[in-house]
Amino acid sequence: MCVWLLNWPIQRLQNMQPELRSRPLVLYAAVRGKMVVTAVSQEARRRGVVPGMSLAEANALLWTAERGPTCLTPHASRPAILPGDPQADREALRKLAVWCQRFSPTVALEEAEHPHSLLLDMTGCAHLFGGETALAEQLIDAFRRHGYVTRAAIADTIGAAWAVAHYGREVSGEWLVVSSHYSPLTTHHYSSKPVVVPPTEQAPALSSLAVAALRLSADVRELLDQFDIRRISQLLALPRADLPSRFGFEVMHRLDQALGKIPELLIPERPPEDVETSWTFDPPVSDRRIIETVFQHLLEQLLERLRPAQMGIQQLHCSLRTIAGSPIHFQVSLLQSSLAVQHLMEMVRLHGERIHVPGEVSAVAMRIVVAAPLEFHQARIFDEDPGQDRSKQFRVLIERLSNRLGEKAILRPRLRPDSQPEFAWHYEPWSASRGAWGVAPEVRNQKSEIRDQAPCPLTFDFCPLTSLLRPPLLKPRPLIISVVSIVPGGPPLRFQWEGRSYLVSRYWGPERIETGWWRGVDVRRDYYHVETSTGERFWLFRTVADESWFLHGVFA
Amino acid sequence: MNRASRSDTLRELKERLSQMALSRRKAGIFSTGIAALDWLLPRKGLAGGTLMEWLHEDAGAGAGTLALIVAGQVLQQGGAFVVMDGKREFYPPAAASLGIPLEHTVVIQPENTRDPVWALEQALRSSAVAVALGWFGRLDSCIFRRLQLAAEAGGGLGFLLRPLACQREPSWADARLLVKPLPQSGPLQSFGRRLHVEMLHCRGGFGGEVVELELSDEAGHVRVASQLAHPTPAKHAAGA
Repeated sequence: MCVWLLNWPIQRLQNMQPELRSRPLVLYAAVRGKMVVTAVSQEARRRGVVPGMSLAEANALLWTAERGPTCLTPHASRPAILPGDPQADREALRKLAVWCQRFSPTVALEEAEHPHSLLLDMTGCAHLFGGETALAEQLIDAFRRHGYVTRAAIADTIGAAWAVAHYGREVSGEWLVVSSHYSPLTTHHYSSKPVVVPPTEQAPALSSLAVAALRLSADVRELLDQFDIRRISQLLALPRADLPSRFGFEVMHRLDQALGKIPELLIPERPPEDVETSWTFDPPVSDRRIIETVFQHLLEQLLERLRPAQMGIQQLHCSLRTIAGSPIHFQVSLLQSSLAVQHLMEMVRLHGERIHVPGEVSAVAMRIVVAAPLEFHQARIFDEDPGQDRSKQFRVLIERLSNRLGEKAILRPRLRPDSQPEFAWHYEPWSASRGAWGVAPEVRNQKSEIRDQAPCPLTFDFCPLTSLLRPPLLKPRPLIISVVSIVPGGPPLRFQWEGRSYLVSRYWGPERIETGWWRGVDVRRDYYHVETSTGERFWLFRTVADESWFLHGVFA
Repeated sequence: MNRASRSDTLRELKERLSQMALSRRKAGIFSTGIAALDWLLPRKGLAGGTLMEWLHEDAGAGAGTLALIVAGQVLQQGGAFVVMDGKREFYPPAAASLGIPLEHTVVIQPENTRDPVWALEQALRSSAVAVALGWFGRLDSCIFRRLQLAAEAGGGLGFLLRPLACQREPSWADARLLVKPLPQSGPLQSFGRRLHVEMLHCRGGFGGEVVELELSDEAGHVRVASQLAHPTPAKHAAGA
């Protein structure tokens, strides 16, 4: 069975970030030094953008389609133009393949540079689900519940299933070409019903389909096009012996695979294995240097096992068994997978500095929690790229700090559109954004044409405040203070804080902040920006309900 | 030796010393974005790879605001901003309005009292960090020296906000500024405020210079309120 996830890179992103569903979405990549559109959403297609177009052209189409000036366009419908990430697409599809093992033990990714389909071997599994069609229906249904649009086809061979899933449709017993040319299908051709090619009927099913259904390379497709061979039936009509000499071996090979004349192998995806290693001390030791050396030895063993797969460690679990008390566990996390022993050992050491080991240690163990493919960047010969070097150094710093102080102590502030001061921002751990360095000013200038149209959909950049309006230091909780004012409900005249008495010489206010009813606690505050007789500035407020005074911020 | 040749020799020695110090550092000179403040500094700007102390008498004096405005100016050249926020009081919306790029900001909230110094040292040592800022009380001289060496290795700037009580402690900072608010009269119509900034000590200079700044609430604009005559210490030192 072949399960095709339509427009996979777009679907994946839309599923990850649902707010992108309503926006025209375009993905691009650099092809031979040119920015080219690689995938587009339905919304963007409606505006005339198609894959293969240059990014500048797509930009023009997307923005001229907007009505009125850009600033008036609601944020929710602005085009989103993002760089494609084939590695992430493949990884996500691989995860889906492992998840699909509930339907069949053999699930593989299609053999392609950018796979968009899953292949399942249903031999011996169908009866467990009430037949092949029932299995496929359940699978489509399961995908739909997770928000994926799929199209499934069942056939005797991988090639036929792939062809029919991508290009075929059965109408009253006859096979029709949904798309006579190479353009892929659109969503309205999809139904929850799988397409089933009856056993040994690949040839009639395939014959009316486009030649592209044979998974041919672009060069061969072009060649066939020049000869005006558009359907598989035309290929089948040609003398078999002539095919390799005229169009190369690929056509013959793919045709035979689709018709079941030669076998095709499925290489199933396997869930990642736990890689673990341990060391027992006899007799137990307490010297940290020995423990460290053993950790290094274990780490080298683990890395040796990862190296052939071009994988690196991203999360590592370490444990120490002590004679006196319970075992000690700690987890080393990196922002980017690494195979460097020195770097990983430094992170282990940072954790080691913080933990207290009571008594002697009888055994240590190390387990890889997350391993990820290594990322390679081509180095430059002549000039070092300062931006890249800085972002690398930044990642190292974040890793070092997060491992020693904990991920929750290394935070990235993000603003939120909330008028209640304590909710106007939130923190998220830097490790969550994988230390991705915000776009540096120099990079921004180079890519000015992309900058305006491609805001990261998760960042919320706004700054409605004039400077000096809000205090640089805000108390985590407003502090209750005693205040003297001339009239009830009037401005403050004198207040006491931390044992000192302050005389208010000037004030600005009140600034009424009334919000937060949806949080359950209605907030009604009158804020005063006060200057004391010594020139210090504070931010005080009075609650409207019970007239009590609080100090909320300090203009430090 | 007559007076003219003595002052020439002094100047020449001073230049040679500052060049020797500069050659050890990788980073150049950053402008604070405030001409008057640049004028106070011995190299007419902030030298990369150094520490700077901002002393303040009281909590609401405005030293933090001024330090954030200067940091925002330095960060325009790129690099990360690290804030040591042990008390969990740092307020990012205000920092953003003062010109701090939040997408390059790392806020560190350590749990104990030893970690902030360690974290600051790590941040200063990293070449990715342009400015690291923190509120600190007493600092051991040894630790202070380590911070200074870390800044020198990383090439960034370390801003230490400290209470005035620390004035008597030895310092490894290149410059030590005292920021005092100037009370004004009349109704508070805009949020602008006046600050008295005094250079208490600086390497390669004599200190004692004073400048009065006026912070305006239009996008963190700062200008000189009024410039006082050169104070006497500088004249004394020059042999007047």
